[in-house]
Amino acid sequence: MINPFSNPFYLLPPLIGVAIIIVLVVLVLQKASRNFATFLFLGFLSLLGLWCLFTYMMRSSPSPREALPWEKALVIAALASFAPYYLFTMAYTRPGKSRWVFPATIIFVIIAATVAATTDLVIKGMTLQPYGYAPVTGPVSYPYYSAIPLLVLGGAYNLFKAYRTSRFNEERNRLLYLAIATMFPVLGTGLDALTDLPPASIWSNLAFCILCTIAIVRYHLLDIRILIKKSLAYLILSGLIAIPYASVLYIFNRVFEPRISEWWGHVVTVLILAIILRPLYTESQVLVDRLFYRDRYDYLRALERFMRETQNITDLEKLGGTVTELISGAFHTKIVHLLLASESEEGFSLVTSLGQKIISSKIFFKNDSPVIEFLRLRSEALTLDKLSVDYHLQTLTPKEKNYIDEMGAKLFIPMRVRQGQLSGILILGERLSEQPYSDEDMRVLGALSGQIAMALENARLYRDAIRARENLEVWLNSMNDLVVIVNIDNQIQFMNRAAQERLGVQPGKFCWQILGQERVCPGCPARQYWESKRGGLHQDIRIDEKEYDVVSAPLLNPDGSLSVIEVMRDITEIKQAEDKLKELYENERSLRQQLEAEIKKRIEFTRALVHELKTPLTPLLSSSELLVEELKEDPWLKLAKNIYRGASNLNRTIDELLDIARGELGMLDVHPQPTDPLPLLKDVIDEMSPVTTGRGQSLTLETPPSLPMVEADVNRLRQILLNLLNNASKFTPSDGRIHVRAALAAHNVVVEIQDTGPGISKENQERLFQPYYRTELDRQQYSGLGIGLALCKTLIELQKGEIWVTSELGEGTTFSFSIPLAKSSQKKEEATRKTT
Amino acid sequence: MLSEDRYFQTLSEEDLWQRYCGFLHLTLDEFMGIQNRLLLDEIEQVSKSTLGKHILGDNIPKSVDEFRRMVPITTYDTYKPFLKDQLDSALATKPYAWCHSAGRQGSFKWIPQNAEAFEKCTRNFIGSWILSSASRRGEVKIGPGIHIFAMMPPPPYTSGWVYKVIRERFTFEAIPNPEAIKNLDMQDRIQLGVQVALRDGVDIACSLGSVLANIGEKFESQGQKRKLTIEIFHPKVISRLILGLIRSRQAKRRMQLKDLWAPKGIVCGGVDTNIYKADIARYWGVEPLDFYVCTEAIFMAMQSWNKKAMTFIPDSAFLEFIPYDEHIKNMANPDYKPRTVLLDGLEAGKLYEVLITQFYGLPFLRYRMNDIIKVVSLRDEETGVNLPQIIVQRRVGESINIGALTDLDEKTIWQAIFNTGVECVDWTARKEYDHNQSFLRVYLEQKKNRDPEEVAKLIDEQLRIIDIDYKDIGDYLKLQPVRVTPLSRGTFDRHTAEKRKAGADPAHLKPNHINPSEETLHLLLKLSNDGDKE
Repeated sequence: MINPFSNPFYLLPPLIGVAIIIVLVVLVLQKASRNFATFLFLGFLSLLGLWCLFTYMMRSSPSPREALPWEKALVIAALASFAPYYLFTMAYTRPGKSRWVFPATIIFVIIAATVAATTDLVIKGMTLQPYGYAPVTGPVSYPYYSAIPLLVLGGAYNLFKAYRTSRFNEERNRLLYLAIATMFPVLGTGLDALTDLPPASIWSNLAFCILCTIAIVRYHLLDIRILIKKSLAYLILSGLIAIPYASVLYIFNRVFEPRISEWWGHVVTVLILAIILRPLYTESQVLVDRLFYRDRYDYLRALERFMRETQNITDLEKLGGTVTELISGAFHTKIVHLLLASESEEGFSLVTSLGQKIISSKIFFKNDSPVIEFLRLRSEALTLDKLSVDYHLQTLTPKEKNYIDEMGAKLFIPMRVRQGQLSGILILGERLSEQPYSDEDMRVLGALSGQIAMALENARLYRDAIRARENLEVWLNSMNDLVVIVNIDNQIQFMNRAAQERLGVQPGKFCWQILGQERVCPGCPARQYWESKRGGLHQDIRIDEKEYDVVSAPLLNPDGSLSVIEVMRDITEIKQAEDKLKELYENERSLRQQLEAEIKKRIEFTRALVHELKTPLTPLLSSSELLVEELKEDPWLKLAKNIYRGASNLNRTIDELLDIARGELGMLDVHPQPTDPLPLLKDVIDEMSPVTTGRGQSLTLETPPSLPMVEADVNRLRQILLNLLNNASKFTPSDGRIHVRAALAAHNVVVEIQDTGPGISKENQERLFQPYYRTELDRQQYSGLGIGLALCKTLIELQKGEIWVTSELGEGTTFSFSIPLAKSSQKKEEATRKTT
Repeated sequence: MLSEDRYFQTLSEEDLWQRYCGFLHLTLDEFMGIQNRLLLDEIEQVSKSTLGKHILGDNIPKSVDEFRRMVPITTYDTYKPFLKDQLDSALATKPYAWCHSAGRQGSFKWIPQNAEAFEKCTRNFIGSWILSSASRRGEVKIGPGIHIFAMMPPPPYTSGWVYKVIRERFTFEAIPNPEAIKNLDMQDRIQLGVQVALRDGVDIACSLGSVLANIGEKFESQGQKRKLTIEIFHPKVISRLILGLIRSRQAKRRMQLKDLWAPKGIVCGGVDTNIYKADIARYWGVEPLDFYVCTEAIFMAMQSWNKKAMTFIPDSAFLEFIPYDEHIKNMANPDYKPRTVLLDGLEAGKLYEVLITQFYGLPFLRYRMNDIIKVVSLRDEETGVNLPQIIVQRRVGESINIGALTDLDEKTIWQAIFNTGVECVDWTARKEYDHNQSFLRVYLEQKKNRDPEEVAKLIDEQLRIIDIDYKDIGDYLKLQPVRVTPLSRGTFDRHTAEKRKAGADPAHLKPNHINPSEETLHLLLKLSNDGDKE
């Protein structure tokens, strides 16, 4: 018998196990999140560490008798360690559920441990086997031992159950790691129980612990399915290499002497085989890949089909439909939506939809949406669960969330064109299998989306080009001008509708045929371009009694050749109108000359009037004024006053006449400036009061407490008011009333002068503001020239105001005029109105 | 599995941090981007509702600037006709719940909250628990199944609704169980809470700072005199008490709460958090995390893991701030339209009044929160947070102006009283006059009677340390403007009992600390006199 105690592989493994488990415990303590499940997992690791330690103690015992207590201890530790593992799977997959299981499991373990420790029912004794100590089992050893794999399998069941229901890739992958890890202790226990091989449990349990710890500690785990597929592919490939190698080696050894026993012999054989069997290996590789990467081949086939089917599709909607169908078939999902950048460039709108009835062209995601920002900035796919993680994505508006719900979206794939610009989004719904999309799915979708984006971009460009061409045709055909494009051979390439209709020639004919020529015209502009390459030409030509203004310019064709574009405008009517205009201009010039002569005469007349009347009047006014001051007694004083009054009236009348004349000649000036109307009104009323009182009339003024500033010439405004008041006083009977009212109206101050005079007929009202016009009554009863109101109108209009009259015969007259507010007052007024 | 549990089950620690605490790592531009986008969505939603039309009229703002220019600043009175009768039809979205404010300001408010708002609120509360227990960026120590020690009123109080909604979304053991404490008063609730916590442990404690400090203080002072109840014989309780006893003996002091539990975090809201910070850390073993909550937007801001100043949360409400000088002008002349700034216009060291516009179709637009905040700094170098750091200074109107030189608020006075070391049960203060000279009158119930003049002098000394402007009063005017009126022992308890008997709402059982009403003050003085006679 071989002494197992001299074999380091007998004593060392438990110690290695203890060391590894200590490392794993530290790792879990440092890296894993602190929760109840982690606590249970730590319990499992610690107890398994004890199991390793007890195993070492048992193996290093000098005799079976001394090994027995350690064997009992390790049997208890084995059961006690897998109980927390089972509870860990419970807590990990169903937190807060089935709480009764926890005390029940613990009670079971305590009972079983007590039985194993205190009786011989589980372990009766120990024997020495070739590989070391072996337990002599008791009557309940099998139920006891079977509890361990049952606990492990129970845990595996929990994990598989959670795997099936989980919707998250990371979680599913982690659960799969844990579930697969549980196979190791089952395998180890099975080998130990059913075979005479050396104890394998310790290694299988260590593998189990390491795999579980990795699954718990690491967040981004390598996709275990890829791991399995790759491992199997390499195994098969190794088999494919090993079988011919072994066969060749066998044959070689049988046929040749001496047999290959040297290492270089093997190397040479393998090299020769590698060269000879290279095509076979490549085929095998493809076979294995096909076998294990069927999905990827499906995708590739789908891509091929897409490229084949869509190369001739230029209709964007149809292409979109094909895309959604392709993706739906390749990725086994019912719901696929295609969103493209909207024409308004505000965001992304739906182009086609499969599996969900969404008939809308609205903007689903605006450009500033977190979804768009995410897809624009990152080159990765966006999964639905990411919306709850990324802080920006969490701030989607309720409307955007509704759209996502409405679409049944699970995955967003960005579609980029060559410049990396986001051109669209592919949105996929849940898969038919209800399984989440794997990382590989997303990678393939990423690649596919690039191809789709290019195809869609081409279709969009084609659509835009068609639209541009259609637009150009519509624009050219809607022109009244004639557009003709002629090539180097003087052949007409294009004619717009107007050209075809009016010239009666179709494209394809020669341009000289339009002009009724039989060969190229002498001095043909097209020839000139091609010969001298100079710029555009402008000329008038006559075709069929019509005059055309023709502008010709060189045109570069897409193939690089030159043509000439000619735009012909029918100017027959313009020419006729020009002639007419010329005639009218001549008439107008003659009339203007006459008018200028008339104005000149008037100016001269006015100048003479001023000179002839004002010159003698000035000494008369000053002398009479002096006389009035100097004379103290009547009748001389009265006579002097009469002279002064008469001279003053005459002076005023001359001034008014002069103003009217200036006004007519456009030489009358006013100097508006911000003016407070209220003091002016009061001043004028005070000035007029003696006159009206003297005539037995009452004169009243009605104004608000304050009025805004107006833009007016103070002197001219005073002149207007005095004129209107004099006018009112003139026509108002001795017991009558004159009422002046001023108020704010919009951007103006409106002044009304109301009298209780005889009133003015409608007919007279229309002509009242004409110079020298006087009513019948005025002419009969009063003196005057009839220029006061005309002057008022001129002065008011020069100050951007208006004047109007309202009157009924027998019911008095109201003259009203408006004066605009000063700019500062207008702003203030505007602000007040808004506030109100 | 509950919705938030799922995240803890499936996400890495890094992703969990990003989900719950990611707002701390936003740039100012990103923060403003979120605010602006959600505001435009809010305008679009609200403009279609009756209440929205009532405020916005026919001119719907098309941009943030237009919104700030066109929409008037509002108060609860603007909304009262629609909200007091809980008119769902006037709102843009269907409310999940109508929440009732505590009414500390004198009037109750009914505030609608929808599912979206509660979802954000759940996330923010869990975020506060994570931050309260974290010691570095990215550290997540909590998970489903934790034990939360919290004293929350039942719905329809906002905090009651919030607690209920969080329980529907995240697995945790509420200590005490809200269903079990419905009809208990505060003391009984606390007692029951501590009993359950002795058995099950505490992971996160969440309450007012003064309540937690009070629990800690009472527990320590009871010492060996603790009453024995049947619950104490639970094996878990016994083991916890034995361990606690060993720890306290090792530390050579009386047993404290931190000997029994090792809470991962403590979360407090209210002006007193800072005052009781040290006490809470002493009794509970963890420094509390302060947050800024309100009935309207629920969760406005919270501290980071370093537990210094607070950071606003971008998707709780659209934030506008009235600079303090503008606020003063507006207080003096209600017709004055104050200027507002946004978060990117805040200046360090300045005070602002807060205006909010709710998101998610909820009704409040440019709504006066009546809170004054102080911007401590524009970023926090220690944690790397690049957003303005704030503290809540006080409520509008809850300050006492002395000598036109300083505004003393609840926090300042409370801190001053606390710093004196005078053991007091409770206090209230207001401004009074003596021959046209104003002074601060503090009505104080002490645990051990000390000379009121001596106490007034101590408070004055502390105020000089805490408030620079107050110091000027002493320096320039040579005044000591604090006077203390002692209240007899038990006055505040009798006030609470009296109010409860009168059927007062829980929020009105205690008098306001600042500017109590005449009626309240009369009652307090009468009860104090009654106590003296006894």
